[in-house]
Amino acid sequence: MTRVDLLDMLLPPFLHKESLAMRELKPFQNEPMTDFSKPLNQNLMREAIDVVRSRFGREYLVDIGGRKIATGRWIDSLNPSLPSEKIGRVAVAGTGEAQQAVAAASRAFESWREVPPSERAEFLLRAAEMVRKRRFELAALIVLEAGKQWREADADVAEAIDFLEYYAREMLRLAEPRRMGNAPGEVNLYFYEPRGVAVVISPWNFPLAIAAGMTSAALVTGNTVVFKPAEQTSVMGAYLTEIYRESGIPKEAFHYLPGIGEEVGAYLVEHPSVDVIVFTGSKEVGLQIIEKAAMTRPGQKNIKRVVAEMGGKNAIIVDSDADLDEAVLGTVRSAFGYQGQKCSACSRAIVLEDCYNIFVERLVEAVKSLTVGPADDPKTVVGPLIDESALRKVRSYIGLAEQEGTVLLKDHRPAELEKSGGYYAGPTIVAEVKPDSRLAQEEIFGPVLSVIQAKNFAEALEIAVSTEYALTGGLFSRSPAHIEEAQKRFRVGNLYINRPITGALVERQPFGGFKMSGVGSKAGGPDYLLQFMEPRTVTENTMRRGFAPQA
Amino acid sequence: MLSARDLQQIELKTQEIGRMIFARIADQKPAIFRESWWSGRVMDWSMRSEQFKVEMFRFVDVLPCLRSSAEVARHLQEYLCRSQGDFPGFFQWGLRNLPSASLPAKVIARLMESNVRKLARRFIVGSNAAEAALSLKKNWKKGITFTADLLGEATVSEKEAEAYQQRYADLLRYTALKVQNWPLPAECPSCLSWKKAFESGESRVNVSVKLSALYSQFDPIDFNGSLEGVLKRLHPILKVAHETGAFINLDMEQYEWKDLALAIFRRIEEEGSSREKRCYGIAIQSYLKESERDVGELLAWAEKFQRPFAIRLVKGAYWDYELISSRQQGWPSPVWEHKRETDACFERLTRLLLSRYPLVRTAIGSHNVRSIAHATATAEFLGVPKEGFELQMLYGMAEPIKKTLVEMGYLVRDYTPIGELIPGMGYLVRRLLENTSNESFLRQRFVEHLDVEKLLQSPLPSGSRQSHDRVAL
Repeated sequence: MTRVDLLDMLLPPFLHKESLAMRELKPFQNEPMTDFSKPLNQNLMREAIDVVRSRFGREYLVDIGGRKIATGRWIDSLNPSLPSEKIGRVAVAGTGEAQQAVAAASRAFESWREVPPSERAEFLLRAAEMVRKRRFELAALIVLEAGKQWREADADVAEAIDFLEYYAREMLRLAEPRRMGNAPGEVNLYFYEPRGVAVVISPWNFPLAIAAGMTSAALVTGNTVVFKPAEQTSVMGAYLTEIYRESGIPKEAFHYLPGIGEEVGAYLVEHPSVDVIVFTGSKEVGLQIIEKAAMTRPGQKNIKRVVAEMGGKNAIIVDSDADLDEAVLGTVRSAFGYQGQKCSACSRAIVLEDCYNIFVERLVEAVKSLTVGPADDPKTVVGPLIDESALRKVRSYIGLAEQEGTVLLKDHRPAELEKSGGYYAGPTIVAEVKPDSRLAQEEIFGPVLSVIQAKNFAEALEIAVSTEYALTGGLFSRSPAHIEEAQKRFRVGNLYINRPITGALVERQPFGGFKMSGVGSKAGGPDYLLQFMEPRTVTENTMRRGFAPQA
Repeated sequence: MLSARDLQQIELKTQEIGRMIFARIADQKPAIFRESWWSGRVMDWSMRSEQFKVEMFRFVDVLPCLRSSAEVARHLQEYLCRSQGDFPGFFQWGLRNLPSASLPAKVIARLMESNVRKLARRFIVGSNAAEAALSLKKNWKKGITFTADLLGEATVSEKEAEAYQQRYADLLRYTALKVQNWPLPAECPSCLSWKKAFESGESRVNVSVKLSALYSQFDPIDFNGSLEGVLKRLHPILKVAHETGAFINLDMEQYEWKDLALAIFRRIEEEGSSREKRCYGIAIQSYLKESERDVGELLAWAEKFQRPFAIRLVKGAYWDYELISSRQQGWPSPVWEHKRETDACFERLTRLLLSRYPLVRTAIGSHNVRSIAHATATAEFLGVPKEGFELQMLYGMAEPIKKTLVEMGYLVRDYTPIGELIPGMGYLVRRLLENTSNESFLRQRFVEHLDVEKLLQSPLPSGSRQSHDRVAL
């Protein structure tokens, strides 16, 4: 009898290796972005936007195990470019529904965890295929519900596909139990098991990508999911739910619980039967979640694991020998892409004094030339903010800018946008900002860029890491020694050299930071799934009557 | 349609002309490889060591924007004196252990700067029109005319776009003024052909325009907006061109912008339909897989309107960029994978375009003797007179070839970039890369000394599918 057969006899069934999926699957490749220079694609996008518009006004209900529930309370999802347009209305789940969802997820866990990893991975691959088929439609929804430009919306969808494909493969890799040590007469197996019920609280700024990433990671590792999307993009949450339903994932393993963060989110975080909380959002909310989750409550079996991606105050250093064409364009893209509403966005430009004047001059002119307008117009480079409260917040920071620095460009946008009622804040650039001022320390999450002057490279590095965050950073330089130094000392989760600092791709740039930017490891990277599982070691003495099989 | 027998004839003629050109060139070498001192050694080492080449060219690229000799010395040290580089001591100049702000280091740095400036001067004809005029006139007297191009930074704002518009207009006015009196020496064989060309209406002044310089929000995702945005700045330039009798050529840049450029070209041709003279041209890159289709469409459109125009046929200068970008994006590559495919496409397009004379005036843009010989052979076969087409090369490259072609009576035109050093560096580095690349014809001939027969070989074996013309002539 061969060794493998013997092990097969001894191992529990769910640890069987060699799944079909693993053998036939091609290695991971990022989903290509849509080439919008082709008229065909431009037309497909336009058509998709029309189609999604034609669905405006629909109702989206809470979905617990496939059971649709109307709760009597509703949130309206509005088009930030034109708030008079209602994408739809979404039922607001209360603590009652939340309780039902957690209970259902808890019950479903026992069977979902037994589904072979290869099958769980298969569901993700099916979901990826569905997202692929509906690519333009989903991108169009992001344009209309989240106010993203065409290319950014398309990239959001591509990233969602990437997460699904990548985590499916990652699970297949991690599903293989490892044989530890090589002592004869003893078999030590190291393997992972899911934790239980995962609560996923997703943000509005990457309404499909991050939602898909966090939920798929939880699901494929064997956890059941209660999904609470951001209020502003709950319709996309409903679409994602639909895709999971169609992919065949057992209904009780995934629940859609749209609602108000402070209400239903807080309830879920404190619930004793919740084992994992995955969150992407602001630092303030993230810290609250970590605090609440740390308290153990009566009936709670597990200590909650929290994965939180929280925010940044990211800087780009422009060295005195930087290629200014690239530095200006790279900074503009990083600061004003999606109106600065990315945790990876650049909100500080730290410029060496030698090239300060010329850089700032070109920067201001470049930003002045950007087209500000509605997200569904392909010409638009700077679209609207997500909602009224974001607009208020950004406006108050613009007011602060006048006190804390020299405003070189203020809320720059065409007057005729006013009548649309859209949540527009035009780009703002502030110079002579002191590194320790509020403007240079607090996350604004809008199109407001502070420019700080540095005497030399050492000072620039010091300023760059002087905030409480450590998410992304960038350097434009043509000095090999400075680049090397930045690698060592510009301590952020994702450092980019001579390119924009946004647009991290799954697998190529695993994404995440530290300090107050988050806890837990990088999304789209090889350690991410580990957070959703508990490792176990099983040691068996294989010697019987002095005889042990050949190991 | 050219038959197989026709193609054979052209091939024989190509070999004949090619051998004649090589015989006349004999031992002459292009200046870039002839340099006895610094540049020569840079070129030499760049061809021997990939690592050195990368570091050296990166250093050259950053040099003009460095503001002090101490900075230059520091960068020299970082690029060429790091421990892992196995670079010749010659280039380290003993810099390795010197503090970058010390006097000896600064002296070395200044020397380096002046060497690089001289190198740049080889390829950039002047930092402005006035400076350029002297060199352009010298060339003119040798029988080589010009198409002037402006080098500059990327246009990131509308303010910069406006500045470019002004620069093009100024360039046109200035050169038109100067060029009227420049004589073509009677003893120069190609000058007779030039005289005929000018008499039949071809312009003395020729300017190449980069469309992306004219609109900061140039983006094919907004096709119509970009079209109108460029035209807004292009129209005033064309007006000056019309007033001064100058010819405007539209450059071709990245693949992403190709369709926009072609659309703009068709638009200005349609708008200028009242004029009889040939006023506009556009460049076509044979390294693009779509170029044959694009040319076919252009020709069909031209037949309808019967508007004379010009095409500058080039191989393409951004091959690495296109390949890398498309691979990073996961998109199919728009360029041929192998150089011989580009060369073969170039020859197919040469035959196609020359067959449309006089509706189309073709400029053959290449330093490759095989490609040039093939073009002249095709012209001869099709009965296109010497004044009916041009051979274009880059200023500062392939001097022996240009000289020979002038002696043989062909029209030779130099593509002459005008601009400051900092924006010019990108151009310089691309030229250095081109000349030192393994596939560079000039390198193969003048450095590696590959033999004539090999260099004159047809890019694809004659039996293959691609050697036959796909588009009906």
